[in-house]
Amino acid sequence: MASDPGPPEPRWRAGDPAIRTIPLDDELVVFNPVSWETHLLNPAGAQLFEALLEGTLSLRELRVELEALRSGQDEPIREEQIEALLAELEDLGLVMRVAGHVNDAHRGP
Amino acid sequence: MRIGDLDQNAVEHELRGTGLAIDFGLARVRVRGDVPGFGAALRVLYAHFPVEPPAGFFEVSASLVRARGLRRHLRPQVDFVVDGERPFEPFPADTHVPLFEWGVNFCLAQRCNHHLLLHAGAVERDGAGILLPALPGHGKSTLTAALAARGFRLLSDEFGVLRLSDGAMLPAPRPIALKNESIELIRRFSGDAVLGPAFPKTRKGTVAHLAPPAEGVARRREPVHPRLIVFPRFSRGESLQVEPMARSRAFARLSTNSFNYELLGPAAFEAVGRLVQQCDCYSLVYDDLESAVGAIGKVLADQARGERSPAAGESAPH
Repeated sequence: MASDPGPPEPRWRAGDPAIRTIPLDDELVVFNPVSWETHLLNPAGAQLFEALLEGTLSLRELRVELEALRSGQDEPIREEQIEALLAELEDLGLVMRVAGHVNDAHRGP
Repeated sequence: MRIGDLDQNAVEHELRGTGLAIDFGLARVRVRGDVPGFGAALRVLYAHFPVEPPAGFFEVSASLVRARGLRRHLRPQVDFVVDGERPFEPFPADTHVPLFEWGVNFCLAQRCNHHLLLHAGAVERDGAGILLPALPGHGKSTLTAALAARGFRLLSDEFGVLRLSDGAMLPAPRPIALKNESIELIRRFSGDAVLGPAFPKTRKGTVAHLAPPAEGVARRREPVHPRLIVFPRFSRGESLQVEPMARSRAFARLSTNSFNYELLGPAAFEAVGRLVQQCDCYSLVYDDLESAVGAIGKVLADQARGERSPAAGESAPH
């Protein structure tokens, strides 16, 4: 009997495809054509948002991406920090959840 | 022939007839008026502008019209009328020039939305455009006047105009409105300053206008690419401070100092982004005009040598 696959893992992507970005040093200004608002993302927000511009990622995948961008001397990123940042960006309409996929780790034999 | 070459009667004749046409590069303005003293002041303030035929298209076609009835004689008033509309309450008739200048500013801010409009002084030297965005009361116009008096070409003291297609700064040289202490300050700062009459008791205190220098008027159709953004703030008693500014902070301040950033949306976003990417950005706190002008000149010279000026008090990188 196959084990319970568990709830789909949430995945995220950047919002409207017409969102515009301009990198300014290690920050990012973003124009949302839906809200007509401009936002300034600090370096952490910029890295996360740019990762989501490239494709749809889960929380775990985001953490791996962002860890790869950090120097060895920085403290590890916690998924709670990423969740908080995603919540802010979702409120601004810059990122959105997509239908989750079954987590591979929960598939039965 | 220039407006300053006309005799007084000729100027009055134009104002009471088909109108006096002024082309200041960004826009053409035609003005009519029957207000005593108005023609004499325009003849001084717009002396370097060529006499233009009062025909063709005008971005602003305005009249200063004396009030009728009792208000023509008792505390006489004057209206700014543009395209048949009176956008403001009447002004006292003896504040005709401030009313005209503020009225034209109002019209340009509404009608030039094919460009990005910044609330900024704008000058140029050696092919480098310099923007001086500032909130009201931070000394932008006084500093712009001082720079013009020290050899910087005047583009505008009120509007930093950026062409959306390529980010070039477009000139709009017009009389610079000086207020209160700034009037005497500029009169002492520049022996060549040509000032129009002073108008006390306006809503902004005493106002007088500095005529734009001849060079700025002659080159009013020559755009220039911006290379430097300086956010000035006059602060009495504070020592000179020149600090590099992060591009992200400059972006935020420019977008809030714009007349039409929100209106233009993505076009303004791209224009401001390009602007901060191609310019060095600084904040400037000063209480002495000569020092402020010198500091801007030094930043420009450092930039030309490929150096970015450090914050005041730091040593330059080796």
